Amino acid sequence: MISTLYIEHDIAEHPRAKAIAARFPQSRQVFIERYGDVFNQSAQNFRQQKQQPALILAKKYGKRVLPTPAGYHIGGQRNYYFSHMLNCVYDCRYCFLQGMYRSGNYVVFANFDDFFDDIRSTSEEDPTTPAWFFSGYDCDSLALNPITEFTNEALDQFATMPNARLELRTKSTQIRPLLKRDPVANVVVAYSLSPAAIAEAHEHKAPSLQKRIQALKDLQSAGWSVGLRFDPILYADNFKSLYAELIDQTLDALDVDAVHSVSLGPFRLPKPFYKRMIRLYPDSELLAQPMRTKTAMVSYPQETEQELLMFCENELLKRINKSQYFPCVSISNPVNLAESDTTKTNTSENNQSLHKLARRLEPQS
Amino acid sequence: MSLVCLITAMTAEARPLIESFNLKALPQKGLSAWVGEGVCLVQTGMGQQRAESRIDALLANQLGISAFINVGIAGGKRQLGDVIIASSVHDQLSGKTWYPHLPPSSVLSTANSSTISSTNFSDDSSEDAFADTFENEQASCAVDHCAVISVPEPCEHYRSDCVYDMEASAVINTTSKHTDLSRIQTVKVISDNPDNPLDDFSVKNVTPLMCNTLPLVTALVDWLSAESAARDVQDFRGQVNTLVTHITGLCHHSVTETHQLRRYLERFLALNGELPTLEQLGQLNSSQALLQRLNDELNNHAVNY
Ligand code: SF4
Repeated sequence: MISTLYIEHDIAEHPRAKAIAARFPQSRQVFIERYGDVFNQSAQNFRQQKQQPALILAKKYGKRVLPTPAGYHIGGQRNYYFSHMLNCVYDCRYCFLQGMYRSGNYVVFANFDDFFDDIRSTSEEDPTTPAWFFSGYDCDSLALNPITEFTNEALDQFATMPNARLELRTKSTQIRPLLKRDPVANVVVAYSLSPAAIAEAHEHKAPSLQKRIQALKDLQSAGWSVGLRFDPILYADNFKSLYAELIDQTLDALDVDAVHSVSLGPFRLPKPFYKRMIRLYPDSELLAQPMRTKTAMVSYPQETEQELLMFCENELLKRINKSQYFPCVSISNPVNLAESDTTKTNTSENNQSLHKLARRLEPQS
Repeated sequence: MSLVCLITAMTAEARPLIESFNLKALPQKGLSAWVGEGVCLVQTGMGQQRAESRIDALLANQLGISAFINVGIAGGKRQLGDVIIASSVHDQLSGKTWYPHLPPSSVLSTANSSTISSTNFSDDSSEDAFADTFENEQASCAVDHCAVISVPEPCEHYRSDCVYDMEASAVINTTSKHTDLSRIQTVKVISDNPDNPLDDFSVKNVTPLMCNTLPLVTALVDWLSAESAARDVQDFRGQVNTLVTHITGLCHHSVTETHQLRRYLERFLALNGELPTLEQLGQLNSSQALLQRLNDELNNHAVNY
């Protein structure tokens, strides 16, 4: 699976980096100074690299824990995200990572301990208010777990941080490490869900809807707290039947009252990401559909978006409590991201501004 | 038809490749280039500036080149005749480094190389040595990778973690303006080392040494030719561009309108699996009317799962 391993000199002797590297005895190893030398260089092709990604083992310096976009939460007042990994083993055609990164290679920041230290100190900044930490912003939280073993370590750590809450956002069915242990009360495993036919058409390499629902069921039966993320909602002429069926199918399989949270999100991309994505995938049906471009964001035409979101919201609220529901935009009065204060962001395609743009989106996966 | 372009500095480096790929000379004054089925070759001459100008001259021919392999000799603390693929290319003058996206291990494992000992190439130049070497059973050893450092002058500071050459950085610098780093590979064969320094080097030795690169170059050509993601996009764009050229030949479009037309046609092809026929497009006497018609079609396209 991984033919090339790039390893930063700074992390090469770290036991976790060594353990990960040892999983690929046949891979060629290339030692590098900083991951950005490979990951951010120009003249790369995300689509091409996605066919045969390399794995970059790096050390994360600087800010490891960041505030989530304004308004993004699942009931908490203090909300942060972290990315111990960049890029994803799956290949969803709507994923903003395709537009954000030049490279399709995976980066794993092997200094998990530094992430956990930062998470702990952030959560302790205000001991009276729980702090939520969202994993899976720039990757899928569980998909690469057999290689990184991130999940077990994260669960051990969060079990000792009563004031912290963790959301593991995923489409992966790599849930064995969770099922093997007792549930951790302050952890929610949240699945991104799309109608089966849409998942099959656009969520390449990701587990089928059936498998995701089964994973949710298994986790819930084992006592884990689960969340449902209907995000992004994609358009189809038959969207009503598709999403009604998806919502029923999912909720029928679960103890609905025990579901921690349900969220709903529209399909939106910063304009520079969208442009990059159509350069990479001019043949994508999804990206060929009518979109509206307003200031810095690309989305479905407003009427379409509203119709989609309102329908799904109504369907959901027939089955769940309002207290479980967290729309990613206010549906009756949609936040126009293009006109929010974040438009001050310079949209030129330097990395920093692309990252700022990405932070206006919901977590991926 | 897309071509993989081999790039060498010297005639002696080019010769085994020309023969192996059965290339024919491209009749163009001032350019030493050959072309064959799926492969072409340009011989640039020594040094960075020549490499850049000859590659640019070749690209001006619009042959449909979609990938590049720089093949040549290099010095290093390795066995004479050892073949490596570059995991990075560093330009000593500018300090710039490129990391090519390397092919899967499976590609390289099919490309075992044989090593010519220093005793069997000294006087044995030309085709015979080339043919013998290539046709003999290849010794089974995996292709190694390392950094290639491009220097402006020949250098004898041999190191085991890299090899030195004089063109690789110029080649990658020029070609990366045309394609991405997974479609530019660098293959080097060791021609001098501490036991066989540059003073002992003879151009006669180059051809037999270059034979060692043939299995790897062949495997890379096959891989680059078959690589589907790049080819799919190229074919897709090719279809659209042909129609754009046809339409804009019949009906004037401004630059902005041409861009819009191209994207509309891309979307049309993505959604329908085929481009519209000229009959479907109706009368081609107004660019605005045509764009409007296409836009309407796209907006009304059924999306069902
Ligand atoms: S949307 Fe999520 S699962 Fe899909 S490719 Fe992006 S990060 Fe991975």
